[in-house]
Amino acid sequence: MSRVRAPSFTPRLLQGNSCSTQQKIGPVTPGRSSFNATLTDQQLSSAVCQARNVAQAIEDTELQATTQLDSPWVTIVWNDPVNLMSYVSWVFRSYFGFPHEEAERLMLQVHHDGRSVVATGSREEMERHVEAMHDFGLWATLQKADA
Amino acid sequence: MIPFYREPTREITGSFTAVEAELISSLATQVAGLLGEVASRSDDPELAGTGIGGSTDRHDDPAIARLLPNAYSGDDDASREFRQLTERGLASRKIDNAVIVLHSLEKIAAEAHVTPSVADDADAATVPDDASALFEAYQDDAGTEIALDDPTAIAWLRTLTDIRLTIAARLGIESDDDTVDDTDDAALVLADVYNWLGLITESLVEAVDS
Repeated sequence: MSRVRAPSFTPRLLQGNSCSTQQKIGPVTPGRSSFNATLTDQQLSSAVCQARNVAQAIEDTELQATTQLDSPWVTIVWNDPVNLMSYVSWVFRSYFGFPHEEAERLMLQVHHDGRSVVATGSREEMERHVEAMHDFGLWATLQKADA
Repeated sequence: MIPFYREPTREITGSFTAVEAELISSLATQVAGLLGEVASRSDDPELAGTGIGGSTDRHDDPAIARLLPNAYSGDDDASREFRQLTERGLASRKIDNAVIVLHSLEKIAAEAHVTPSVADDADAATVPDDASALFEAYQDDAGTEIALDDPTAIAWLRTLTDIRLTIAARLGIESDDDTVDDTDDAALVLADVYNWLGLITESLVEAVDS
Protein backbone atom coordinates (compact mmCIF):
# COMPACT_ATOMS: atom_id res chain seq x y z
CA MET A 1 0.00 0.00 0.00
CA SER A 2 1.16 3.51 -0.38
CA ARG A 3 0.14 6.45 1.67
CA VAL A 4 2.10 9.68 1.69
CA ARG A 5 2.22 11.57 4.94
CA ALA A 6 3.71 15.05 4.50
CA PRO A 7 5.95 16.21 7.32
CA SER A 8 3.98 18.41 9.71
CA PHE A 9 6.57 21.23 9.80
CA THR A 10 9.44 22.52 7.71
CA PRO A 11 12.79 21.90 9.40
CA ARG A 12 14.11 25.21 10.80
CA LEU A 13 17.42 24.85 9.02
CA LEU A 14 15.63 25.18 5.71
CA GLN A 15 13.83 28.39 6.61
CA GLY A 16 16.70 30.79 5.80
CA ASN A 17 16.97 31.93 9.41
CA SER A 18 20.62 31.08 10.01
CA CYS A 19 23.04 33.31 11.82
CA SER A 20 25.27 34.19 8.88
CA THR A 21 22.53 36.47 7.54
CA GLN A 22 21.78 37.92 10.96
CA GLN A 23 25.40 38.88 11.56
CA LYS A 24 25.36 41.30 8.65
CA ILE A 25 22.55 43.27 10.24
CA GLY A 26 24.53 43.69 13.45
CA PRO A 27 25.61 47.23 14.48
CA VAL A 28 28.65 48.37 12.53
CA THR A 29 29.97 51.85 13.32
CA PRO A 30 31.54 53.46 10.24
CA GLY A 31 35.01 54.96 10.60
CA ARG A 32 36.07 52.94 13.58
CA SER A 33 39.32 51.36 12.68
CA SER A 34 40.73 50.28 16.02
CA PHE A 35 41.20 46.56 16.40
CA ASN A 36 39.39 46.48 19.76
CA ALA A 37 36.31 48.33 18.49
CA THR A 38 35.94 46.08 15.50
CA LEU A 39 36.35 43.06 17.70
CA THR A 40 33.64 44.37 20.01
CA ASP A 41 31.24 44.71 17.12
CA GLN A 42 32.00 41.17 16.06
CA GLN A 43 31.63 39.92 19.60
CA LEU A 44 28.31 41.71 19.93
CA SER A 45 27.14 40.33 16.67
CA SER A 46 28.30 36.88 17.69
CA ALA A 47 26.55 37.15 21.06
CA VAL A 48 23.28 38.11 19.38
CA CYS A 49 23.75 35.21 17.04
CA GLN A 50 24.42 32.80 19.88
CA ALA A 51 21.37 33.98 21.75
CA ARG A 52 19.28 33.35 18.66
CA ASN A 53 20.83 29.93 18.33
CA VAL A 54 19.95 29.08 21.91
CA ALA A 55 16.38 30.28 21.42
CA GLN A 56 16.23 28.29 18.24
CA ALA A 57 17.56 25.18 19.92
CA ILE A 58 14.93 25.41 22.65
CA GLU A 59 12.20 25.81 20.08
CA ASP A 60 13.55 22.91 18.02
CA THR A 61 13.70 20.67 21.07
CA GLU A 62 10.07 21.44 21.81
CA LEU A 63 9.11 20.64 18.24
CA GLN A 64 11.06 17.40 18.35
CA ALA A 65 9.39 16.42 21.57
CA THR A 66 5.97 16.89 19.97
CA THR A 67 6.85 14.87 16.88
CA GLN A 68 8.45 12.11 18.94
CA LEU A 69 5.19 11.68 20.86
CA ASP A 70 3.69 10.72 17.50
CA SER A 71 6.29 8.20 16.54
CA PRO A 72 6.23 5.05 18.68
CA TRP A 73 3.73 2.49 17.45
CA VAL A 74 3.71 -1.22 18.16
CA THR A 75 2.78 -4.36 16.27
CA ILE A 76 0.93 -6.86 18.45
CA VAL A 77 0.43 -10.51 17.56
CA TRP A 78 -2.59 -12.07 19.29
CA ASN A 79 -3.10 -15.67 20.32
CA ASP A 80 -5.41 -17.80 18.22
CA PRO A 81 -6.31 -21.46 18.59
CA VAL A 82 -5.48 -22.34 14.98
CA ASN A 83 -1.90 -21.39 14.20
CA LEU A 84 0.69 -23.97 15.18
CA MET A 85 3.38 -22.89 17.62
CA SER A 86 6.08 -24.09 15.22
CA TYR A 87 4.55 -22.02 12.43
CA VAL A 88 4.30 -18.82 14.51
CA SER A 89 7.91 -19.22 15.63
CA TRP A 90 9.00 -19.78 12.02
CA VAL A 91 7.09 -16.66 10.88
CA PHE A 92 8.83 -14.58 13.55
CA ARG A 93 12.23 -15.86 12.40
CA SER A 94 11.68 -15.72 8.67
CA TYR A 95 9.86 -12.37 8.53
CA PHE A 96 11.37 -10.34 11.38
CA GLY A 97 14.73 -12.12 11.32
CA PHE A 98 14.63 -12.88 15.06
CA PRO A 99 17.15 -15.42 16.33
CA HIS A 100 15.66 -18.77 17.31
CA GLU A 101 15.52 -18.06 21.06
CA GLU A 102 13.85 -14.66 20.64
CA ALA A 103 11.26 -16.02 18.19
CA GLU A 104 10.51 -18.85 20.59
CA ARG A 105 10.19 -16.45 23.53
CA LEU A 106 7.77 -14.17 21.66
CA MET A 107 5.74 -17.14 20.38
CA LEU A 108 5.40 -18.49 23.94
CA GLN A 109 4.42 -15.03 25.15
CA VAL A 110 1.63 -14.95 22.55
CA HIS A 111 0.59 -18.45 23.61
CA HIS A 112 0.58 -17.85 27.37
CA ASP A 113 -0.25 -14.14 27.69
CA GLY A 114 -2.58 -13.96 24.70
CA ARG A 115 -0.49 -11.31 22.97
CA SER A 116 3.02 -10.07 22.38
CA VAL A 117 4.58 -6.87 21.08
CA VAL A 118 6.80 -8.05 18.23
CA ALA A 119 7.87 -4.70 16.76
CA THR A 120 8.10 -1.00 17.64
CA GLY A 121 8.54 1.89 15.24
CA SER A 122 6.76 4.30 12.94
CA ARG A 123 3.12 3.93 12.08
CA GLU A 124 3.89 3.16 8.42
CA GLU A 125 6.39 0.46 9.40
CA MET A 126 3.91 -1.16 11.79
CA GLU A 127 1.21 -1.10 9.12
CA ARG A 128 3.56 -3.01 6.82
CA HIS A 129 4.25 -5.58 9.55
CA VAL A 130 0.56 -6.04 10.34
CA GLU A 131 -0.27 -6.57 6.68
CA ALA A 132 2.59 -9.09 6.40
CA MET A 133 1.30 -10.95 9.46
CA HIS A 134 -2.17 -11.10 7.87
CA ASP A 135 -0.50 -12.56 4.77
CA PHE A 136 0.79 -15.37 7.01
CA GLY A 137 -2.63 -15.81 8.61
CA LEU A 138 -1.47 -14.50 11.98
CA TRP A 139 -3.82 -12.21 13.88
CA ALA A 140 -1.97 -8.91 14.33
CA THR A 141 -2.87 -5.29 15.04
CA LEU A 142 -1.02 -2.04 15.50
CA GLN A 143 -1.59 0.70 18.03
CA LYS A 144 0.23 3.55 19.73
CA ALA A 145 2.84 2.28 22.12
CA ASP A 146 1.28 4.06 25.09
CA ALA A 147 -2.33 3.13 24.27
CA MET B 1 -0.16 -39.37 2.54
CA ILE B 2 3.51 -39.07 3.31
CA PRO B 3 4.18 -35.86 5.25
CA PHE B 4 6.49 -33.23 3.78
CA TYR B 5 10.19 -33.77 4.14
CA ARG B 6 13.34 -31.93 3.07
CA GLU B 7 15.33 -34.25 0.80
CA PRO B 8 19.14 -34.22 0.80
CA THR B 9 18.78 -32.61 -2.64
CA ARG B 10 17.13 -29.64 -0.78
CA GLU B 11 13.80 -30.32 -2.48
CA ILE B 12 10.75 -30.61 -0.26
CA THR B 13 8.64 -33.67 -1.07
CA GLY B 14 5.38 -35.12 0.14
CA SER B 15 2.91 -37.63 -1.22
CA PHE B 16 -0.85 -37.53 -1.54
CA THR B 17 -3.41 -39.94 -2.90
CA ALA B 18 -5.82 -38.73 -5.53
CA VAL B 19 -8.60 -38.42 -2.95
CA GLU B 20 -6.41 -36.44 -0.56
CA ALA B 21 -5.23 -34.18 -3.37
CA GLU B 22 -8.82 -33.65 -4.41
CA LEU B 23 -9.80 -32.76 -0.85
CA ILE B 24 -7.02 -30.18 -0.47
CA SER B 25 -7.77 -28.78 -3.94
CA SER B 26 -11.44 -28.47 -3.12
CA LEU B 27 -10.72 -26.65 0.16
CA ALA B 28 -8.18 -24.32 -1.46
CA THR B 29 -10.73 -23.54 -4.18
CA GLN B 30 -13.37 -22.80 -1.56
CA VAL B 31 -11.11 -20.40 0.34
CA ALA B 32 -10.13 -18.68 -2.91
CA GLY B 33 -13.85 -18.44 -3.73
CA LEU B 34 -14.61 -16.78 -0.39
CA LEU B 35 -11.86 -14.22 -0.98
CA GLY B 36 -12.69 -13.76 -4.64
CA GLU B 37 -15.74 -11.73 -3.74
CA VAL B 38 -13.60 -9.41 -1.63
CA ALA B 39 -10.79 -9.13 -4.15
CA SER B 40 -13.14 -7.90 -6.84
CA ARG B 41 -15.51 -5.84 -4.70
CA SER B 42 -15.40 -2.26 -3.57
CA ASP B 43 -17.70 -0.25 -1.34
CA ASP B 44 -16.42 2.96 -2.89
CA PRO B 45 -17.38 3.36 -6.54
CA GLU B 46 -14.74 6.06 -7.06
CA LEU B 47 -11.99 3.68 -6.03
CA ALA B 48 -13.45 0.60 -7.68
CA GLY B 49 -11.29 0.87 -10.76
CA THR B 50 -8.05 1.67 -8.97
CA GLY B 51 -7.22 -1.68 -7.42
CA ILE B 52 -7.40 -0.24 -3.94
CA GLY B 53 -10.75 0.50 -2.39
CA GLY B 54 -11.58 -2.65 -0.43
CA SER B 55 -14.65 -2.76 1.72
CA THR B 56 -14.80 -0.46 4.70
CA ASP B 57 -16.05 -2.63 7.51
CA ARG B 58 -15.11 -5.94 9.01
CA HIS B 59 -16.87 -8.81 7.24
CA ASP B 60 -19.91 -10.50 8.73
CA ASP B 61 -18.76 -13.96 7.65
CA PRO B 62 -16.52 -15.03 10.57
CA ALA B 63 -14.19 -16.92 8.21
CA ILE B 64 -13.57 -13.86 5.99
CA ALA B 65 -13.36 -11.67 9.09
CA ARG B 66 -10.57 -13.89 10.41
CA LEU B 67 -8.70 -14.05 7.07
CA LEU B 68 -8.91 -10.27 6.67
CA PRO B 69 -8.90 -8.94 10.23
CA ASN B 70 -8.97 -5.35 11.43
CA ALA B 71 -5.50 -3.82 11.51
CA TYR B 72 -6.07 -1.41 14.40
CA SER B 73 -7.27 -2.52 17.79
CA GLY B 74 -9.70 0.00 19.22
CA ASP B 75 -9.65 2.42 16.29
CA ASP B 76 -12.45 1.65 13.85
CA ASP B 77 -11.79 4.67 11.65
CA ALA B 78 -8.14 3.78 11.13
CA SER B 79 -9.08 0.12 10.53
CA ARG B 80 -11.61 1.18 7.95
CA GLU B 81 -9.13 3.39 6.12
CA PHE B 82 -6.44 0.71 6.19
CA ARG B 83 -8.88 -1.95 4.99
CA GLN B 84 -9.87 0.23 2.06
CA LEU B 85 -6.24 0.59 1.03
CA THR B 86 -5.01 -2.95 1.59
CA GLU B 87 -7.80 -5.49 1.69
CA ARG B 88 -8.09 -6.26 -1.98
CA GLY B 89 -4.35 -6.76 -2.29
CA LEU B 90 -4.32 -9.07 0.73
CA ALA B 91 -7.25 -11.10 -0.63
CA SER B 92 -5.62 -11.32 -4.08
CA ARG B 93 -2.32 -12.55 -2.64
CA LYS B 94 -4.16 -15.23 -0.67
CA ILE B 95 -5.93 -16.32 -3.86
CA ASP B 96 -2.57 -16.44 -5.70
CA ASN B 97 -1.21 -18.78 -3.01
CA ALA B 98 -4.25 -21.05 -3.30
CA VAL B 99 -3.74 -21.19 -7.07
CA ILE B 100 -0.09 -22.24 -6.53
CA VAL B 101 -1.31 -25.10 -4.31
CA LEU B 102 -3.85 -26.15 -6.95
CA HIS B 103 -1.11 -26.19 -9.59
CA SER B 104 1.19 -28.39 -7.53
CA LEU B 105 -1.64 -30.88 -6.99
CA GLU B 106 -2.59 -31.01 -10.67
CA LYS B 107 0.04 -33.66 -11.31
CA ILE B 108 -1.67 -36.04 -8.88
CA ALA B 109 -5.09 -35.44 -10.39
CA ALA B 110 -3.67 -36.04 -13.87
CA GLU B 111 -2.10 -39.35 -12.82
CA ALA B 112 -5.27 -40.40 -11.04
CA HIS B 113 -7.18 -40.07 -14.29
CA VAL B 114 -4.72 -42.27 -16.17
CA THR B 115 -4.31 -45.01 -13.57
CA PRO B 116 -6.79 -44.81 -10.73
CA SER B 117 -4.74 -46.01 -7.77
CA VAL B 118 -7.69 -47.70 -6.09
CA ALA B 119 -9.67 -48.69 -9.14
CA ASP B 120 -11.57 -51.55 -7.54
CA ASP B 121 -12.64 -49.52 -4.53
CA ALA B 122 -16.19 -48.41 -5.19
CA ASP B 123 -15.76 -45.33 -3.01
CA ALA B 124 -12.64 -44.13 -4.78
CA ALA B 125 -14.38 -41.43 -6.75
CA THR B 126 -16.19 -39.83 -3.84
CA VAL B 127 -15.13 -38.53 -0.48
CA PRO B 128 -16.49 -40.93 2.15
CA ASP B 129 -18.82 -39.44 4.74
CA ASP B 130 -16.65 -40.74 7.50
CA ALA B 131 -13.34 -38.93 7.41
CA SER B 132 -11.52 -41.56 9.44
CA ALA B 133 -12.57 -44.10 6.80
CA LEU B 134 -11.16 -41.73 4.23
CA PHE B 135 -7.76 -41.87 5.82
CA GLU B 136 -7.82 -45.55 6.80
CA ALA B 137 -8.91 -46.65 3.34
CA TYR B 138 -5.81 -45.16 1.83
CA GLN B 139 -3.27 -45.61 4.54
CA ASP B 140 -1.51 -48.33 2.55
CA ASP B 141 -1.44 -46.08 -0.46
CA ALA B 142 1.15 -43.38 0.00
CA GLY B 143 -0.03 -41.70 -3.17
CA THR B 144 1.90 -39.67 -5.65
CA GLU B 145 4.94 -37.66 -4.72
CA ILE B 146 5.07 -33.94 -5.38
CA ALA B 147 8.16 -31.80 -4.99
CA LEU B 148 8.03 -28.17 -3.89
CA ASP B 149 10.68 -25.49 -4.09
CA ASP B 150 10.84 -23.10 -1.12
CA PRO B 151 8.65 -20.28 -2.50
CA THR B 152 5.99 -22.85 -3.43
CA ALA B 153 6.26 -24.45 0.00
CA ILE B 154 5.70 -21.05 1.62
CA ALA B 155 2.61 -20.49 -0.54
CA TRP B 156 1.44 -23.90 0.68
CA LEU B 157 2.01 -22.91 4.32
CA ARG B 158 -0.01 -19.73 3.86
CA THR B 159 -2.86 -21.53 2.10
CA LEU B 160 -2.96 -24.44 4.56
CA THR B 161 -3.19 -21.82 7.30
CA ASP B 162 -6.00 -19.97 5.51
CA ILE B 163 -7.91 -23.24 5.04
CA ARG B 164 -7.51 -24.16 8.71
CA LEU B 165 -8.56 -20.67 9.80
CA THR B 166 -11.66 -21.02 7.64
CA ILE B 167 -12.55 -24.47 8.98
CA ALA B 168 -11.98 -23.27 12.56
CA ALA B 169 -14.34 -20.36 11.97
CA ARG B 170 -16.95 -22.78 10.59
CA LEU B 171 -16.51 -25.03 13.63
CA GLY B 172 -16.70 -22.07 16.01
CA ILE B 173 -13.18 -22.67 17.37
CA GLU B 174 -12.28 -19.25 18.74
CA SER B 175 -10.16 -19.97 21.78
CA ASP B 176 -7.67 -22.64 22.87
CA ASP B 177 -10.37 -24.24 25.03
CA ASP B 178 -13.04 -24.59 22.34
CA THR B 179 -13.84 -28.16 21.37
CA VAL B 180 -15.94 -29.64 18.60
CA ASP B 181 -19.49 -30.77 19.39
CA ASP B 182 -19.10 -34.56 19.37
CA THR B 183 -22.78 -35.15 18.66
CA ASP B 184 -22.47 -33.33 15.34
CA ASP B 185 -21.18 -35.83 12.77
CA ALA B 186 -20.54 -33.23 10.08
CA ALA B 187 -18.49 -31.18 12.55
CA LEU B 188 -16.49 -34.25 13.54
CA VAL B 189 -15.64 -34.97 9.90
CA LEU B 190 -14.54 -31.39 9.44
CA ALA B 191 -12.51 -31.56 12.66
CA ASP B 192 -10.71 -34.66 11.35
CA VAL B 193 -9.83 -32.81 8.16
CA TYR B 194 -8.71 -29.81 10.24
CA ASN B 195 -6.38 -31.95 12.34
CA TRP B 196 -5.06 -33.77 9.28
CA LEU B 197 -4.23 -30.44 7.64
CA GLY B 198 -2.50 -29.46 10.90
CA LEU B 199 -0.29 -32.53 10.55
CA ILE B 200 0.63 -31.60 6.99
CA THR B 201 1.33 -28.02 8.05
CA GLU B 202 3.56 -29.14 10.92
CA SER B 203 5.59 -31.37 8.57
CA LEU B 204 5.91 -28.55 6.07
CA VAL B 205 7.11 -26.01 8.68
CA GLU B 206 9.74 -28.52 9.75
CA ALA B 207 10.77 -29.19 6.13
CA VAL B 208 10.99 -25.49 5.23
CA ASP B 209 12.96 -24.87 8.40
CA SER B 210 15.55 -27.62 7.87
